[in-house]
This record gives sequence, structure tokens and C-alpha cells, in this order.
Amino acid sequence: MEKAKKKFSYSDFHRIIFIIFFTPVVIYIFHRIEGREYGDKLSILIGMAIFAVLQAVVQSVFYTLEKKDEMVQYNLSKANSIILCAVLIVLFGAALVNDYLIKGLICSDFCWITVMSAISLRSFLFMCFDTVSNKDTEEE
Amino acid sequence: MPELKTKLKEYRAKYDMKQGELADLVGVRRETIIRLEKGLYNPSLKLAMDIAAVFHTTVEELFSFEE
Repeated sequence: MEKAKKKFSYSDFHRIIFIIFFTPVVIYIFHRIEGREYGDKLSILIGMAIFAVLQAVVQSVFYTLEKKDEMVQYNLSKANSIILCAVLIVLFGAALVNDYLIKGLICSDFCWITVMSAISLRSFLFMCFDTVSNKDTEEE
Repeated sequence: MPELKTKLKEYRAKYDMKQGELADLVGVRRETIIRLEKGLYNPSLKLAMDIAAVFHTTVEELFSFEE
């Protein structure tokens, strides 16, 4: 019996996105940089592992703090979507500016400013989404 | 898009229950109940069932969608 044709799903779409965007990163790190910036290839792997562990720690702390209420999760997901777009725009913008306009953006300063701004803006957006108007509050 | 309609406020009044009390019973914040009453937020199936259980009614009786 002929196998039913599998429908292209949203998961498939993200598999393709993952491959398209992750493969160049790996190729760039291992073939172009060749570990020069970090010592050797093992150091890169160790660095990536440390980054992954730190990510997991931060995520687990955030998750335990933020999973309590589904409205909180809903508002945070909205804030996260906006922040993700903003960070991507800032990073692409900075890369273009650095490549074509002003050479020598201070990378570590820029990273710190972006990270701190993203975290603060995320919380600010959450507060905006989560605010209940006075009229609603008085309706008890 | 269908609009969420809810009888949450009526049931709360019937049971003489405050928003905060209902929120505590179903394990959410009061803000969540306020948004639900305004129809600004679609609850999860679990939350909808928990609220229905508090008022001894069904999810369909409490929540509906209108075009």
C-alpha cells in the first residue's frame, strides 16, 4: 500500500530554519575562525558547553519564578516575541554599521548594553501588558 | 475572530465571591480573573475546568465564543 504523503508541518518549517541558520554558524566557527580566537577547537566546544549550561541555569531560574500563572506566561510570551525582534534588529543593524559605516564598535560594551537593555525592556513590557486599569480593579 | 463571552461575573455574584477569592481557589492571580471577566484572555482548558468546578457548572455554560 502506498504510504500517505506527509504534509509539510510547522515543525518541518522550523527544522529547515534551524539547519539553514545553524549550519553556517558551525562552518564559520570551525573552518573560518579555526579556533584562532579561542585557542583551539576543543576550547570552542568547552566554551559552547559552558554557554549551554549557563543558559540552562538562567532558564531554569526564570522558569521556576515565572511559571506560576498562565496570564503571566501569556504576557511574557508577548514581551519575549517583541524583545526577540528588537534584539535581532539591533544585532543585524550593528553588524551592518560595523561592516559598512563605523568600524570598530566596542563589542563587549555593545553586548552588555544589548543584554541589559533586553532584560529591562522585557520586564517593562511585561508590566505594561500586566497592568490592570483602575476601573477594572474597582469592580470587585 | 470569535469573541470570548463569559458568565464568570454572574456566577461570582451568585456565589457572593470576590475576584481575589476565586483567584486563590483556582491558583491564579486576581489580574487573570479580571481579564477573563472582560473576555480579554482565553483561559487554558485546565483553568476553565477548575473555575467551572468551583461554580459546580460546565465549561460550556461559563464560556462561549461569538462571531
